[in-house]
Amino acid sequence: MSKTRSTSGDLTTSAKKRDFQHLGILALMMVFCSVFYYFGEIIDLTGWEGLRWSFFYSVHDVHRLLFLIPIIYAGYFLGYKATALVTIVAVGTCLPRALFISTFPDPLLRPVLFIIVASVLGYFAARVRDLSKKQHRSKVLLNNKIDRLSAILEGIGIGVLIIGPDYSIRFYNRNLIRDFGEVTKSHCYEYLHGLDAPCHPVCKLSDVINGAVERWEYVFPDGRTFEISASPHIDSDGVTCQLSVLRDITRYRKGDAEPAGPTN
Amino acid sequence: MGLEWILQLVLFGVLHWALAALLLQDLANRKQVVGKRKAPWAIAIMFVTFVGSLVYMLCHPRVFLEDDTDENNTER
Repeated sequence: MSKTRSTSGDLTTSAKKRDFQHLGILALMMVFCSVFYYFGEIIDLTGWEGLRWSFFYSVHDVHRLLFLIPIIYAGYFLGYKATALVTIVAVGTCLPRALFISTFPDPLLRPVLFIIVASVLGYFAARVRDLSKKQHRSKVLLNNKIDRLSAILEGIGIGVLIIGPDYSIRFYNRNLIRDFGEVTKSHCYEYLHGLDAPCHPVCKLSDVINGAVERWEYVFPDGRTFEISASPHIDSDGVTCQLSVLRDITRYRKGDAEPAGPTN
Repeated sequence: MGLEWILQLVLFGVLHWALAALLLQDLANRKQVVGKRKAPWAIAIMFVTFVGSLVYMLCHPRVFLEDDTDENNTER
């Protein structure tokens, strides 16, 4: 338990560190964009004649577009709130030049258009982040549940096998490997029986896929007896498969004693 | 005062109050602030247009980070 807590604490610390790195990069980008946007005025103030390029005095919309980088960055790495804040700060930085210094026409319309474009782009960047975070979260949750379920099944010593309608092995657990060896073949008839074709007399795959729940005992060529329960299972891709539970009952059959049920 | 001036003022006002709303919400939810008192920050955010908000953001950079409180509660 304490190990889990410490791991979770480490993750939180590293996430915080990463967030502050993003904030630092964002701050640097904002400073750079602001200096770039007002560079013409800075040249006027400082008298750096060597840098007096006509580009810095051209229409400001081009210079303003640079602010889209921190806006999208904030949306993608920090979320909706950050992108909203950065958009407002960017517009607040641009407005004095756009409204009071610029000699170009429509000084109000162009910043308003910029706000709309920047907000939409920032929103989409934040939405992408949100969706990928949710996807990652559900993947972690699903993996945890699969691990938990596998641990339970392994604990009670039951082999689990999911077989697709084309006889392909889609899932197996460690108990199955213990009982039948490494899964080197892709089809159940090859792996379990060493055959080249489906074992039709015993196979109940088509019945199970059509909804039947079957239970039978099968004696393998090596003399081991397994109790097999098969039921339909809809796999993650929506395909109906056969979920087989295999239980070795050889020693009970040899001694003619009834096998004990799984312990709770 | 021409229409353009009024529109400029409206634009400034909308931006200022949008920023102020976001920051005041953060201020209200925050347990600790620089200087330990929230009231001066609230006044600065509301009445020192943009500059007050900028200073608040610089002093409290966590305002940019979202609360992922549900992240740790997904596993039950």
